[in-house]
Amino acid sequence: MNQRTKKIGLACTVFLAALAAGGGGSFALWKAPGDSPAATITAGDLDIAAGEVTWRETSPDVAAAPHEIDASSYLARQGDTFEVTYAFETRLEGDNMLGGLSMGWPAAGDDGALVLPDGVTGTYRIITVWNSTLALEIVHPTPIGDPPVFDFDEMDASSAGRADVFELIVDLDFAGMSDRFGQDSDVQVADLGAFTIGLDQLRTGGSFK
Amino acid sequence: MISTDNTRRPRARQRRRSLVSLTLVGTLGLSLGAAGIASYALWRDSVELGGSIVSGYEYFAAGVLGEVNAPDRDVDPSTVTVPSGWEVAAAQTLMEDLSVAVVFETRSLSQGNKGLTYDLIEPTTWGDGIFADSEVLIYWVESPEQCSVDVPRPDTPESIRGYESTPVSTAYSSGTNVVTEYWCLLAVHSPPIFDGKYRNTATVTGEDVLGEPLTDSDTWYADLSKVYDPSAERPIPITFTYYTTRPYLDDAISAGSDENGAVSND
Repeated sequence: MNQRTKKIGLACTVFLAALAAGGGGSFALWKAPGDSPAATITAGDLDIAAGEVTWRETSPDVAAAPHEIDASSYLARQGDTFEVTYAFETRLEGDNMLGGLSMGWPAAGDDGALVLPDGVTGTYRIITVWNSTLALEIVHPTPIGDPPVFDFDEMDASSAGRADVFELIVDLDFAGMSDRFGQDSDVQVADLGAFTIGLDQLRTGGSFK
Repeated sequence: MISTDNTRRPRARQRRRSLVSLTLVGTLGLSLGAAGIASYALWRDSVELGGSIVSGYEYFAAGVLGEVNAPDRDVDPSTVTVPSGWEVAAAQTLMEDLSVAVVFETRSLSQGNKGLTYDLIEPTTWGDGIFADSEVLIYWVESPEQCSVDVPRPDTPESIRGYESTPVSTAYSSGTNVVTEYWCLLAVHSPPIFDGKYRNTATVTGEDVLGEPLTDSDTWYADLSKVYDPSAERPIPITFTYYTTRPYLDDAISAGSDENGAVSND
């Protein structure tokens, strides 16, 4: 083995060692909690879970409203209003864990896109149900389908971790929907689409450590 | 000595170059490793949500018994005029029996929180045939059998106000069964008894050969009556027009009746 060969080998060794050290750091940071000995670098968690979905009729001229309905069988008419509540919970653990929420719909025309009949409008908002560190309404009423503007920068897990419970509330107004005549007429479907609420880890932010 | 120094200097530079190279390689490896940290470390979790709700519908049709039609949506989406044709048979019966009863039928449905109300619109004229010379009434009946000259006119329910009916209330409904109602057109023809009647009696008096008075009389008369041609009976438009209502209109109608918690209009 000549000198040149030795140097190349040494360089490769250093490179791989450095690469492994970096990669090893990444796995160690997100090692699943529970089985790790205390000496292991850090345990963390980031989780979002959907809760109960509730449809309520809120039509102002209906004596029984507001009341809960079964949206799978309920028949909407012009003039109706509805409130749909999606509960969800987020969990963050880890010393350096900052989390942010995101939300979005598939593009128009794609599978799962938002589709509202002509004359039907809607807004949504997100409120905090349980956690005093965030504002009560973290997304103010926004036209449905538009991206949200969150009224906070990030959720800081701190050393104790945190759990937040939210409600996404969609308000639907059928004031302008045309009346449908006959059983064979086209059914008007207010499809809220397959929208996604995401919990993302953040690497920037005022309290990022 | 000079030559010796000359040989050491290149080796020292070579060692420095090697150290620099290894540092660069190590830095590159650490950088890639750090990049690995970033790409794997930025966690994301998400939930997919959705939901939908569909619309209910309304339906209305009207016509003579068993032959109802829905509105022509291209002409008037809320109005049905009973097609002409029924007048001929009815006029024939009216001429022969001096009375006739014709049953009209409506079918109504409105789902969700909408009620349905319709109005029966009487014709402005009964034509110039036998109906024009008859007494004609139109009224609600509970069943077709009640539409007869021999059956007294029934009391009307609260949902009937003159020629207006509300077969479907605004209470929420998801059913698909139509509400069927019946209206009775009853015509009674009374031919004039004295009008157009002419009667003439001729009396002859005289004496017979014995001088006894004789008298005799004879009478002829003619009753003039109008001749009707049922086949020429003009169309008599019986029209139904409907509309749907939200619950607040019910409140307006029954102001003060808020047993269901509806807003009172007092």
